[in-house]
Amino acid sequence: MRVALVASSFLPEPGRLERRVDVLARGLAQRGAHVEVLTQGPGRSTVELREGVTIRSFPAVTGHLRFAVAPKLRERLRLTSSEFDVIDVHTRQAPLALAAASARSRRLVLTPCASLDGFLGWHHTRAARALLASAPHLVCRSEIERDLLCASIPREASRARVVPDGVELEALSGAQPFATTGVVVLAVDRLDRATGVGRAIAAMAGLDPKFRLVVVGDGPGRERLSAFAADLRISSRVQFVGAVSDEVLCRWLRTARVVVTLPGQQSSGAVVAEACAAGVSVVASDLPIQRHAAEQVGGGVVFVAPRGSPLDVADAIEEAAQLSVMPHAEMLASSAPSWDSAIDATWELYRELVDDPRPYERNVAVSEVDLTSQLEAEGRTLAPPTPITTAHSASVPAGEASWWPSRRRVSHRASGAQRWR
Amino acid sequence: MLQWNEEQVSLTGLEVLSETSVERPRNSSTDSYGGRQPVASLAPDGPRVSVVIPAMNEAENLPYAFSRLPEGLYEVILVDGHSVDDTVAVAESLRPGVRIVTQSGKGKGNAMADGFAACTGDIIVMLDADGSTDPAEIPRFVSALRNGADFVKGSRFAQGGSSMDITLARSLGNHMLRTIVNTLYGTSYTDLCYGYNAFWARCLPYMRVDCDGFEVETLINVRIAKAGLIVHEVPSYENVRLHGTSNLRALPDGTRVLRTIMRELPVAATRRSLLPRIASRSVSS
Repeated sequence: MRVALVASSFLPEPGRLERRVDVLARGLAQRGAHVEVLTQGPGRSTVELREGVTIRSFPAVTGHLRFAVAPKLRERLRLTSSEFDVIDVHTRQAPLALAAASARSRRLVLTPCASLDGFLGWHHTRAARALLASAPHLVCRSEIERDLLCASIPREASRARVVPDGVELEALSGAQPFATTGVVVLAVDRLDRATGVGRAIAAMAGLDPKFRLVVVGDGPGRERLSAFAADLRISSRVQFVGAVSDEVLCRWLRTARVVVTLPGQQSSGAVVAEACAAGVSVVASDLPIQRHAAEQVGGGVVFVAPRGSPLDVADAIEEAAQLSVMPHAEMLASSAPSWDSAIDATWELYRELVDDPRPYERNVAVSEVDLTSQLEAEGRTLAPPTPITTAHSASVPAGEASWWPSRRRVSHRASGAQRWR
Repeated sequence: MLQWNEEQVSLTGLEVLSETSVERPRNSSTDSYGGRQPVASLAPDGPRVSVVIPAMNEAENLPYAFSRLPEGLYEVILVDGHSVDDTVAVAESLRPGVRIVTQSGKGKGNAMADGFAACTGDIIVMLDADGSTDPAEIPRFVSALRNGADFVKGSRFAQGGSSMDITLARSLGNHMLRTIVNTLYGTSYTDLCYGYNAFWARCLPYMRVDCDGFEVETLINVRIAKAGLIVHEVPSYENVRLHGTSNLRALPDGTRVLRTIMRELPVAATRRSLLPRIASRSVSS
């Protein structure tokens, strides 16, 4: 099976999305799939073979802009999408998913690695909704995310699967804590405005000097947050360790007394699950997804309002530090989801897709009929379909029609005079 | 005791406690102080309230200011700015339990910093000694703090507030500076340079009062906003100074306020934090 994992960014960039794609790629390759990671990043185009996975990175012309899609990545998708049995798009924003969708792949899976609020943001709403409505398969990272999706687009409920991020229990239990002094508070997140790391830093000013904050992760907000800590005169108590490997992250999780995760909007809840599995008390934003993760794994979690005073966070950290630490044996028996189960679930989904002989049923009634009647009303007719001229189009088997909405395809095939005006 | 309707009215991020159940006795013949409220008292089981009053040669104004203090205060701290009149003696005679702190340096900012350092209460209230701010409004500030605010600003320009003391030039300057702060820091303040504020003592690390002059209120307001603390505004009435003349000079002090606003910008802070790194790089290269 040939699988393309399209990621809006990839290692060494830090983040949950990058980690998930990396783990899935390696796991699927071990199960016999031919896996290619297609991503974008700063610098030049690169091709790398790592643990059986081909990683192709294309230069993003606008640097780190979140909404940009590398033109070469778009072109690569357009030319080679038919070579893959499955294309799975992991992205935080809709444009990359739209680019992958327009490439007419045989089977597209969409994994929104961001809150659906963000994914369905105002400037992408119509496009993102069209995409979600037309993508044959959606993967959500939690039940809550799926519920939100179903509430937003009810008819997609049957097409949404839940594959949660995993927790590496073995690595966690075997990790050696760092030798530190004081009470270590750990914040693991991407450093931008949405993740609430600034609030955790502000809370440190309201805590006893014995509390130290260790920030694991990187991002565009690092300089700003560092300056913020300096402004509050707590630089000596806030340590930015940047993006770290999984092993080092496990060691920090074992070192910490409290883990803080304070996103202002929906997140994956993976930090809560990891921290609970590591037996560390957690201070988390009171969001449904975080509560669900805490209930699933079980552990000491103190919830605070998603947007509120840093003094509340400081109080919550003090309270969480008083909670008992989970013993080692219980940690191993934790009910946290593992990465192996995530890889198995993904593999199973791909197998089902490939083995399913039925083509994806497009919503013809909405698109082609509407378009035809509209053109007829205007006294125009549709041009006959022209063959697709890309080099790889021949490999699309008969009956496996592209799932891309036919309205778009028809409008492309119409002659110049018949195009939308 | 006053009965305030504590319904909070949201005003684009800030919240104002609106007074509806009690009509203010403004211009009442029974109140010799014009728009002043009757003196209220604080709830006995509430948090400990400390009041900081910076004073320099305010002996004539203290009798009024002290008479308006509500009952139930935990402590009153008078920061003496090296007065040459009987300010300290008058304060001690009016309120035997008053704590006198002699200012270590010069200026209102320094006086406030010294006063804050001496506070031992849960809540700190900043007051002026010249009689322009009415201490009887303290329960309203405390009420807002107990309702979830971290910092409560008095506002002369919020609905229900007013000022008898502000000139047109100062009003325009305040408006301009307030607009700049609201634009740069994403706040919704209706008043910027007013010295009547109250806050939980835990907020002190976020303020770090390190200025000397009348820009202290602006500095505090900006730093509180940057830290993300929850700010409420309550309407306040400012009367004219009872005796003596103000030390405030509109243009020089306005310039200092503007300089403070720009200095506290996050961009400037980032640049400051980067400077040592750039310097070390250039030295090593």
